[in-house]
Amino acid sequence: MASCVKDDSTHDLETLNQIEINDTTATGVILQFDTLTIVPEIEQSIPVPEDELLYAWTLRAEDGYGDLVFLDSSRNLHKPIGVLPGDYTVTYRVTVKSTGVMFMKLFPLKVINRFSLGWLLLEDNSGTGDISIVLPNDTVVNHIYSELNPGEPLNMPLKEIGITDTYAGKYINIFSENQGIRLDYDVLLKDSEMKDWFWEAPTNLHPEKFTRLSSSLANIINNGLLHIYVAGGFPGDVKYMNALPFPGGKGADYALAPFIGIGPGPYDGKTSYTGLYYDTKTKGFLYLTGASLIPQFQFFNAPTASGAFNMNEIGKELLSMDLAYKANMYNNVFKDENGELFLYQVELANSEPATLMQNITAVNPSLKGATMFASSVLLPQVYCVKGQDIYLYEIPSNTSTPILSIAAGETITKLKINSTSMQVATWDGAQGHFYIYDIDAYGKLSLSKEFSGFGKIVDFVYKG
Amino acid sequence: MFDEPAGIYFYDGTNVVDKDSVDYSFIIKPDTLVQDTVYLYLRISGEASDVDRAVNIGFTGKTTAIEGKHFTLTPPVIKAGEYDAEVPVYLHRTEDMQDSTFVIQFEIKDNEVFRQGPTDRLLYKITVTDQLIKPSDWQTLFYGSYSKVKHQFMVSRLGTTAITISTGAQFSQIMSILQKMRVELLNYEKENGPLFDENGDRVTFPTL
Repeated sequence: MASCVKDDSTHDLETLNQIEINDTTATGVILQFDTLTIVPEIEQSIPVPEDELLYAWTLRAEDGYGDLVFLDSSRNLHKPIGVLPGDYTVTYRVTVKSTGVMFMKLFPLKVINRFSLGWLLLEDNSGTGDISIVLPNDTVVNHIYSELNPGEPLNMPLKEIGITDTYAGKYINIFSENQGIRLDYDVLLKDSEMKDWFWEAPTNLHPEKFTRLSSSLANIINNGLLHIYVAGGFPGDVKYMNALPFPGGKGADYALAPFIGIGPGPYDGKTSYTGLYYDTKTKGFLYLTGASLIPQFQFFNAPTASGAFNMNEIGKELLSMDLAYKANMYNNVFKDENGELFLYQVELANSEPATLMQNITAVNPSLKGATMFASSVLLPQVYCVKGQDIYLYEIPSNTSTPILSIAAGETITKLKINSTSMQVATWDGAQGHFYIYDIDAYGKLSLSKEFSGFGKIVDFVYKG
Repeated sequence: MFDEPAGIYFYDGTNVVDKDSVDYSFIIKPDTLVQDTVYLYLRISGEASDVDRAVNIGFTGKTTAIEGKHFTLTPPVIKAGEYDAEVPVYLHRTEDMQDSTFVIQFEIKDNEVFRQGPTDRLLYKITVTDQLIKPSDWQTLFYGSYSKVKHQFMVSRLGTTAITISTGAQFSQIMSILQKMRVELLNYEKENGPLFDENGDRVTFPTL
C-alpha cells in the first residue's frame, strides 16, 4: 500500500559542486629532507574560482599510527619532507568554502633514508655542536643532528665521532669533553647518554677514546681508565663494566693514553692480545686478555733476543697509534722529553710483538714539532703534519719528504687515512674545509674532492 | 539489593611481575639504622566504599618472626573512596638477626567487608635478617671460593646483595662487579693490609 503527501515545506534542494582530484605529478618515493612537489588537477562540476576553495596537505604514517603532520594549506604542495624514513600517506583535502563540503585524495609516499652513506663531519659551529654529511654524490647537507634532534644540543667541546657495531646493535657515538651520546645508526636520532651505558657510571665522565674491538667487544677509555663492554652470548642487559684494574696491584692508579689498538683476538690460537694500550704513568704498553669473560690487563713479556724494545719500558709520550700496512701491526709515534720523535712498531700477531724502533727526527730534523700522524695501511709510510705541511715519512729508509702544503691561513684540525684516500679537515678561522686526497701506489697525494662551508670540524667518520 | 563483599588481594603495584615476597637485609644498611619499612600493597576487586574498611591480615605457620619484636604491622585499611592501599610493615633490627633469618608470611583472610581475592595472591612473605646468606648460585668463576668475609666485603662495597643471578644481578653486571671488587680489594689492602676470611685464608678474586 502506498500514499502521497504534498510537500508544503519551504526547503529547497541545491545541487552541490562536486570536485574530482586527479594527479600525475606525485613521485611516491622521496629522499628524507627532499622537497615534495604535487600539483593536482581539480575538476569542479559547478566551477568556482579556486580561491573559493580551502586546501590542506597532511601526512601520517601508512599504518595510521603516529602524529598527523600538517604540511601546508596551499593549492599545490612544495614542501621539504623531514619525517623519519618509512611509509606514509599524504592526504590532500579540498573544501568548498560556500558549502563546507570536503573532497579528499590520498597519495602513498615512501621516505627513504638520505643519510645511509656518507662522511659524517662532527663540527663546532661557533660553540654549537652539529653534524654535516657529505653524501656519495658530493651533496653536502648541514645541521642534520640539530634538525633531527631539536632540543637535544650536543655537549661542548666536542671530541670524537665513531661507529659501534656489536651484537648489541649498531650506533653512532658522539663524545664531548664531559659527555657522550649514542645515535641510532639508521635514523640518527639520539638513543641514549653515556651515563646510562655503565652498570656503575664513572664519577667523572671524561670520554677519551672509543673503539669497537670485535662484534662482541667494545671499549671506552674514560678519564684514563678502561671500561669493557662484552656483548652477546648471555641473557639480560649488557652494559660497560667497572674500570679494569692495572696489573701489579696498582688498581685504578693508571691513565691510559687516548689510543687503542685492536689485536687478533683471543680465539686465534696464537696470542691473546685482544687490545693494545699505553699507560702514561708507567710509560709502557699493556694488552687486554680474557675478554670473553674476565677481561684483564697484562704486561707484555720481557723482550726476546729478536725484540726491538721492551714493551713495558718505553718512557716517552705517545702521540699516535695507527694500524699500519700489515694486519695487527701498529705504528706508534712517541716524543721524548727533548721533542725527538720515535717510531715503535708493534705486531700483535707475533710472539715477539716489539718488531721495530727507530729515531725519526735524528735523521729527519724537519719533522721535529710534527703534531699529527696517520699511517698508510698499504705501505710502510707515515704521513706527518707540521704546521701547513704534510710530510711522507718512509719507514724502511727512515727518510721523509714534504708532499703537500695546505692553503695559507688554514690549519689542519683532523687527518685520517684509509686504503685509497686521505681525508683532511681544516679551519681557516671562518669556516671548515674537508678535503679528500687520492693516494697513489707510492703514497703521493692528489686532491680528489673539496668541500667547504662547515663549522670547525673536530672529527669525522664514514657511515657506510 | 544483594551486597557482596569486595575481594581483596596482594598486588605489587607494577603489574609486570607479581612478586609474592621480598628479602630484606639490614647488613647493607648503616649501623645506625635500627628500623626500616617494607610495604604490603593491597588492591580490591569490586566497588570503593564511602567508609574506611579494615582488612584482615594474619600470619601463616611459616612465620618465625615475632610481632612487636622483629616487626610491627600497622592496621591495614582500605580508605573510603580508595581501591588500593600501601600498608607499612616496620622491621626492627635486633641482635638475633645477626645469626638468623626470620620469616613473616602474611595471609589475607575474610572478614565482614572483604572476601579473599585470587588464591595465588593471598600470601606475601618477608624475610628479614642482619646477616649474609651464601647465594645458591655463587659464581666461583667470577668471585672465587666463597667465604662470609668476602661476601660481606662485596656487599659493603656494592651497597646491594644483588651479586648473582638469583639475588638480582645480571650476567653482564657480574662481570662488572668482579672488576670493581678487584680494585676495591687493592684499595682495602693498601690501607689495611691483606683481608683474611673466617677460615684464615686471604681474600682474593680470580684472575686468568
